Amino acid sequence: MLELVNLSVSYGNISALKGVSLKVEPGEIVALIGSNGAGKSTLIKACAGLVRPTAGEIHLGGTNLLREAPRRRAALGMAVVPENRRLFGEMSVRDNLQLGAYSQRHDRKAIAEDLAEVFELFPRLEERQSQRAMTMSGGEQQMLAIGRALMSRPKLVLMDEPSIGLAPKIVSLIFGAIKRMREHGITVLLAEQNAAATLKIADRAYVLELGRVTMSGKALELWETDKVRKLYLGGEAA
Amino acid sequence: MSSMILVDLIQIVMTTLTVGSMYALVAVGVSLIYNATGVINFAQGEFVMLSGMTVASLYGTLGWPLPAAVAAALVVVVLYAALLMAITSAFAARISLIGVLIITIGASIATQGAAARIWDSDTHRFPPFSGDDPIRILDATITPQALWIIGVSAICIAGLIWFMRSTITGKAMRACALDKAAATMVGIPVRTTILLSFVLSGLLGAAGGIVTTPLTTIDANGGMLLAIKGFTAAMLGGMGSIPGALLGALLIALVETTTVTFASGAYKELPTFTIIILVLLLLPRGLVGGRHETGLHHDDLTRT
Ligand SMILES: Nc1ncnc2c1ncn2[C@@H]1O[C@H](COP(=O)(O)OP(=O)(O)OP(=O)(O)O)[C@@H](O)[C@H]1O
Ligand SMILES: [Mg+2]
Repeated sequence: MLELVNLSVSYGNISALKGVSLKVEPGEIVALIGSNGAGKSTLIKACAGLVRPTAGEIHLGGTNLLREAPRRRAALGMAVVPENRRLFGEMSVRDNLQLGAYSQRHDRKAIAEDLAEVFELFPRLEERQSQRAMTMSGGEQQMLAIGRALMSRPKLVLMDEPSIGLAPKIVSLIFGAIKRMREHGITVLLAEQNAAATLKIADRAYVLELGRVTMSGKALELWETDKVRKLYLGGEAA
Repeated sequence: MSSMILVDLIQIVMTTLTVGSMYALVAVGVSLIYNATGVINFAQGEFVMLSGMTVASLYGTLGWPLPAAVAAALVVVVLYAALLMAITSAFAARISLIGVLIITIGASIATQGAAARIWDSDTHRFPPFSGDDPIRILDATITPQALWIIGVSAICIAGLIWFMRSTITGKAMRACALDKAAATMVGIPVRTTILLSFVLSGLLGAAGGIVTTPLTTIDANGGMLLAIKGFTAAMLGGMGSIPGALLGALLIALVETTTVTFASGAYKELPTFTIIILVLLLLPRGLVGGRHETGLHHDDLTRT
């Protein structure tokens, strides 16, 4: 589904990713675990076309993404739940969702179906349809960011720290939604610092440290290793 | 005696609406381009001048049918808007937004020069659409062309607001104005959307030039003052807000009209410049509170 080959990204002379290779198979939840500054957001931005890699390749299905315009990714089946959510703050919840479906805006029937599915996943969004996005709570905004991504009928969703700043109860709601996405056949690449919660729902995981993949494997097996535990035993580790 | 005051009042209201409609078309155009790019376009008045001059020569002088002359003027302005977008975005990639603002002033001056060569430096007009006979309301009078100005402006601005709030393309325009990277991620073509903002902005100005020229006349240098009026109105209302631009335009027209009615025509431009200074000093976000965050988000958006 998604394959990164030796991907490197630099900001000026700061190199943020140093030859990262990674593979996401269809139907998987793949976790990308790393602490602050590891390069998680950089990797996701590179996939989304928002930063240009200095070396390496990104393939989505059979397509070489680096040859495509950034905005083509939605049509190719990729959606992003970006760092800081990046909602259209002054616009309503409904407008945000409708814009999520921009890449298939001519298919009104599909949009209506997808809207119903998003509302089923996050009933809170249905109640708040006409509220302006920026006035919603952090948890509601995260639901909306995920809902907006789902509105494009993606095959693959890239998520950048969806649990950040949320109470444990909301985190489990969001992660529950991610599991349901997998049941619907959506593939997920989930970048997180919250290793405890993430490795529980992921199938496989990569550990990113200072721009390099230092460990990878089955999520549960990684969780068993002492190093991951030591590095990421956060406040709410199980 | 009291009916004299009433007549004055009606006259002031009608003149304010007429002048305010013209300013509103320019101010809303300024706001549209500001939202799309963060640039304040001081060449906004050139849309009005180009369309007025085109219709004046094709319809007024050469005797084309009015609809054909109007269509030609719209084509001219759309091409000019696209050119302006190309120039500003080429520079926006390299220099600061203030730099781009100065480029638009340069573009305005260059356009005035070009227009003076293509046509001349005289004032031009063409016959009003529905004759010259004034319509009387009590003892106040209004020309039929003023009603055209008010009507066409109202339709254009209402249409624009509807477009921005209710169509997916309009919403995509607002989304681009709010966050270009996020707009790209959902698949919105950002450059095309910015071009659309320039074109719509140009069309508003063009509509203004077409309806006002029979009443106010136009000359090659007529655009700059209108751009300043539009900028002031947009600042007063809150830069980036369409209702704000409309409100600002009507307020400026009101102040101007009252000045001319009770003081003298010699002071006509005084209030506008006083308002610019006061607003910039005391109320930089305007009455409605426009967008405070300015600028292209080209930091995190790879140009392709
Ligand atoms: N626009 C930028 N300009 C310069 N350096 C940057 C930029 N963006 C990120 N970096 C640097 O690249 C490195 C990786 O940053 P990145 O945001 O990808 O980390 P992250 O894993 O997402 O961290 P966090 O968990 O804190 O979000 C950091 O050292 C950061 O300072
Ligand atoms: Mg990050």
